[in-house]
Amino acid sequence: MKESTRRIVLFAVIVIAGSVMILFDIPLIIMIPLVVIVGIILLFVLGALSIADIRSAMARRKPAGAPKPPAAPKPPAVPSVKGSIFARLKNLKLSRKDAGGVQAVPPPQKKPEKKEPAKIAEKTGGVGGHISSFFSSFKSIGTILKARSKAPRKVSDINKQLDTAVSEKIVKPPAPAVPASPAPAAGGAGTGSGAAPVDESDPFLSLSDDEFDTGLLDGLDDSGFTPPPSAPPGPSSEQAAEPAAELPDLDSDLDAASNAILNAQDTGQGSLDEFSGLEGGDTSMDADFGDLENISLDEVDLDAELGGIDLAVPAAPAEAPPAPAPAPAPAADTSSTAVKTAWIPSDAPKGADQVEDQISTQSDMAAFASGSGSDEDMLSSLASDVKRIEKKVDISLVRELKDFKAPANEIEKELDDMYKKISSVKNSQPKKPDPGATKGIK
Amino acid sequence: MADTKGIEGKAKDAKPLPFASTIESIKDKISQISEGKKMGADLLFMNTYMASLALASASRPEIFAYSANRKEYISAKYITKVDTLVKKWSYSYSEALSIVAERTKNPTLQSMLNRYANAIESGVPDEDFLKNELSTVKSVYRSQVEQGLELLKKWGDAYIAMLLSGTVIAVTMMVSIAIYAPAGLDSTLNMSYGIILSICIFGNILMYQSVPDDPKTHGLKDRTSKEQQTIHAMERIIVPLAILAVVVLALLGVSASLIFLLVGVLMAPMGIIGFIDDSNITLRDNDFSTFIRSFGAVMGGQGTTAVYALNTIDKKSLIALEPLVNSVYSKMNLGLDDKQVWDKFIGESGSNYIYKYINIYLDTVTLGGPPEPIGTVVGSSMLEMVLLREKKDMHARSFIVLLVPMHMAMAGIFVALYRIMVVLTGSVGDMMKQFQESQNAASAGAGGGLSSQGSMSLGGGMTMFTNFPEKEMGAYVVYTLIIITVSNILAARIVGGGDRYMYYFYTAIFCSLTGLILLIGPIVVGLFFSPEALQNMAKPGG
Repeated sequence: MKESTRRIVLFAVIVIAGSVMILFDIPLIIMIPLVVIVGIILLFVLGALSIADIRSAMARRKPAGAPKPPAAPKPPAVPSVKGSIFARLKNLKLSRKDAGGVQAVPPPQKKPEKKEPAKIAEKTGGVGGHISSFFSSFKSIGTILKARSKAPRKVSDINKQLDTAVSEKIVKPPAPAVPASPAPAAGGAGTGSGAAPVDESDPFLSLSDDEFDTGLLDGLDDSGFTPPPSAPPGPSSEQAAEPAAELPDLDSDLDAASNAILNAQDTGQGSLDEFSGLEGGDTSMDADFGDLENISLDEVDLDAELGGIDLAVPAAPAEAPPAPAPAPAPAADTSSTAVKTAWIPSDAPKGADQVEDQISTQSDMAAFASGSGSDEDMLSSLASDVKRIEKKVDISLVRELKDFKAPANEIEKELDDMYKKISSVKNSQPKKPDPGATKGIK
Repeated sequence: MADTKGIEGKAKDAKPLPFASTIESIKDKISQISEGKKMGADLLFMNTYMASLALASASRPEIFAYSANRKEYISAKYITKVDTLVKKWSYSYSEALSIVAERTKNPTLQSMLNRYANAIESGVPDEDFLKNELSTVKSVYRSQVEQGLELLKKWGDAYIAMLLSGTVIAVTMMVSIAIYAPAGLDSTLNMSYGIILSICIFGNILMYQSVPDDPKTHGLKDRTSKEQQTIHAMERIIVPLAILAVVVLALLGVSASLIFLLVGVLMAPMGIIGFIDDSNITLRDNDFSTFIRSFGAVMGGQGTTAVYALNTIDKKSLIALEPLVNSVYSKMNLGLDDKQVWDKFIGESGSNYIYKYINIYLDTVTLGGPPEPIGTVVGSSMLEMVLLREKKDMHARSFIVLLVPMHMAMAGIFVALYRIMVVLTGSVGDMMKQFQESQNAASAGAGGGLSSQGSMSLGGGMTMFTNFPEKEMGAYVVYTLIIITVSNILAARIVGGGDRYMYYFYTAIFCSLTGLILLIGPIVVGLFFSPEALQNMAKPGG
């Protein structure tokens, strides 16, 4: 029988049965259950329901109705696929491929959890345990009533607290900065206290111990970060320091520096006698560079002199006005503290206005005033700055790479293959004469 | 052949039950309503979780995957859809969020999903968005709860007023029946039942819709608090016993007052333990906000593990939570499995908030998140919910404080009036009988016509109070009181909130009160309004 027909029949029979009962003046309380019973019997009569159906429905319901364990925070995994292992593997691959353009990072899969021991039944102690817990619960009713009988707080107080709770800002601590190497003494910036637990598990921590590659500094000239060391502290030095995102207060630094110089002069500790040779040096320089005026640039054959080395040396130095030569560094003590110059912005820590930092800066400036600096010191200072750039550990990436094994021999093999391929490609290409190499050779 | 048989068998097994589709659609509607009620709190849980994940530097796929896996949040299923659209259908997150938002009926969730889609599209980092979103969701949740509380206040007052009106209607009907003794009594009584029932249903539905949802207990099966264990053990015996006792006693024709009292007495132990558990959960929740903040602060600030942090934090300020925290500390100190220890803590606390929030904290800290800000985020969300609950409890307490005396007053008026009617009509009947006898005796002696006329006119006037259907009206009183009592139990539970066991608590209160009123009411009325006094009043010169 069709479902629609069955419904009509059911409806008609129930209405008729109810009407008959009303005619016989059967009370409402009896009539309702009777009508329900008639309806249920009809379902069986019309074949809509059978005992087997009920049984199968009950059987279907049982596993679904079984109490599920609490949703433990399982790590999200690739959706489970029933079937053979191959089918699962296939699905795994496909799902990764499907992720396509989206940077779908498969969430970390936990190791197959150890089989938890069978749940230990709660020691309830049966009826006795329940009775004892019943009485112990009753004992606490006094405390609860006492707590409840306390005068409730005013709504205005609750509202105030609510305002605070709702408007509370989340302040994330700065990303765990990985100290590259023991900072030079001149750095003076404390690295803070209390390493977070994350730092301890930092797998890239060992990388930070690598020596700084001074080759990184080669590009510094290109970035235009070359303020003259002799430039007076003024607007020009501020402009030079503009690219730095977090600039310390230069004025305060400069003031501190000048004060340090003056103090050094006053106390006589850092005597400026070392600079006295600068005045006398002018005459000897004139003598040294006086010969340059006699040289005719047209007569000079650079290629011949340099032996065919292609040099792109600009002729500017020759045309430039004679700059005062830097004072020779008086026996620079390499073991002494590295010199920090005021124009290097990142040297000054954020809390530079603190007493210790001011002292550190002053001592640095005093060292500079005493002429103990050199180019090497400057470079080391720059290097320390570069080193202090915060390395942001991508914890997400770390989690992904957890348990990822890459055997060394496989990597070696792959690299060898790649090298062979590259070299074969290079060999197969016809060698073209390098025009740049011979261009300058006459 | 065997295969075809198997297929047929399967097809037969899969045959839908009659009205299965109708039942399914009803179920869907009910689940939609309950989903709508739970969504506000669950969105706050989920946003707290997502913000904590962002603090743990989780990538976007990780945030979505972990959030989708949190099945205890209603909103997680929508995040699962987003995750599926992205990972299996290669949509971008922005597109997937927009698609799911279009198909979402809940306006709060829809708005949140759209906001997230826009943020992703415009390149806002997840962490920034989730931080702001948490703040937004907190504000929205607060506003929703406060609106609900305002509505609840109004509807609570309206419910009591309407119920009182219903009782007044019932009383008026009873007096009318006493006076006029109409022929179609059943229809009159049914109308009265209908009015009271509709008032009760209407009032309860309105209050249910306006009250903010606040499931206090976690509802875990395997680990529960001590009180919950006791209740679960007791209810298996007491509830069937109570139902059986009611049926048997009703069939035996035992007085309704005794049945009400029996139900009240049977439910009282479970109700009281339930009340204790409910209060304990409230106190634990109040402490938990402080606990999780200080726990995170110590873990983050000192860079210690949970065991050392638990040892360090000031447990004296955690009055209700101290025993549980001590238990966790001692177990962890022994080197037991952390997960099981925390699971036990959650179970023993019995609280839904603790269950949700401690899992958020532990999950995200395990992922490498900084404990201090995560503790702050979790503690802040928890504090908001606890404070809002405190506000709700204030309203609920005032409602219940009003409801209990009003219930007593309604039941008292009803019972007292019924007894007065019974006594009055009985006395009038007796008086009429005596008068009739004396009249008959006088007429037999004197045989006067005038006196017989006078007696007829007096008798005609007094028949108004003589045909009071005592039995029917007794049943009417009992049925009406059952309706009012059940409705008040539901109303108190809806407004007061809490676990299922709070029904036992309110059942114990209201059934005991109704039973006592039914038992004591007639006695008290009898003291002031006795048939003898009426007869004395009627005697000439009396």
